[in-house]
Amino acid sequence: MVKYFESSTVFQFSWEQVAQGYWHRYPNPHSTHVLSEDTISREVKNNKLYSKRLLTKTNRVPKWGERFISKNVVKIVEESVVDPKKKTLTTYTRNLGYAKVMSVIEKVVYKVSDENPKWTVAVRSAWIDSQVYGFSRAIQAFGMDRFRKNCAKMSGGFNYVLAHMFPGTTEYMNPSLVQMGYIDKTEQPSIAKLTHAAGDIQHSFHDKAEKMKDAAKKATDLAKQKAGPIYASCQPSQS
Amino acid sequence: MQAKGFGSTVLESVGSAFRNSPSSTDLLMNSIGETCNEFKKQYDSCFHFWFAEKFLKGETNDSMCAPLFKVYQQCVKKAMKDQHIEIKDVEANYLGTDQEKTAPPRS
Repeated sequence: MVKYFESSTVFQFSWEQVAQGYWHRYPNPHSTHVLSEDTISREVKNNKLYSKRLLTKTNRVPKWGERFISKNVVKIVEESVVDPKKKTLTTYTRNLGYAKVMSVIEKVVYKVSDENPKWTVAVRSAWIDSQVYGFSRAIQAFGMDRFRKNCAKMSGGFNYVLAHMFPGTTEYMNPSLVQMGYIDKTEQPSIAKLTHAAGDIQHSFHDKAEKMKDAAKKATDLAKQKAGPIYASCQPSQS
Repeated sequence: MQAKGFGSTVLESVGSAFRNSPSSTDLLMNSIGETCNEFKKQYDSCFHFWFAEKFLKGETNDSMCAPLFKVYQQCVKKAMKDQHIEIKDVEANYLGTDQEKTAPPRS
């Protein structure tokens, strides 16, 4: 069973600024969990730029799992297409590690905002799936809960980078940046959060099945409350 | 960073966060292979220039950074192999293929 989520975020920067900023997204003060970033392939085809990058991130380990952990890095593959004519940047990310326990796929389309041509909107979709029998519901609920909680904070690091690169644009929008929480140091991109969740669960399978059952029960309760697709809004005014 | 507050202290916090950070060009992500960092740095700065000044302005010829990319690639592929990362898993394409996920219909 695949669970689907959707959200949108407005960046008060032009599409060209966002597209440039995308490649500078890491490091930022909120991205200390990102260990490496490499371009694996890149080509121009039909006037569009196709790139593939490999990212590695640290995996948060729950306290009770610390002494059992040997592998604590997650690998994420990011495909992207930039279409400068249509002004779209589309990214598609998937986790390489823990894919059977939980696979997280995230697609983001950055395009010119309908409300203001000087702004950019990011439409984010996520699919969370688990093949672990009996736990899939719980895992998906866990992922969903994290996705919702972090919805408003996800863009913080990116806004920080954009503000840094284009300080002229920022002068007109400081209050909004504050509302968007771009100086909040706790945010992490959602895919990292979710793969962390996958890691937690994988480790718990090895050694702490009982604690997992507890977590699963709580998460299942959550899932029951929140059935169906989630359409979350990340508008800054609602943070 | 130390920035935390809200209200009147926020703008000061933002300002000091910027002052305390090296400029964005000094902050670079590491490569997965330690020995590739220098190649990555050279390629990335070439690419950033090309993307902003050429590609976004309609120029699609990407030969400018190709020599730097080639050297960097050789290093990264080796590092991936050393770290037992399945290159096939990484190379699989999803975006724009039949395998790409689609949103369920809104009811």
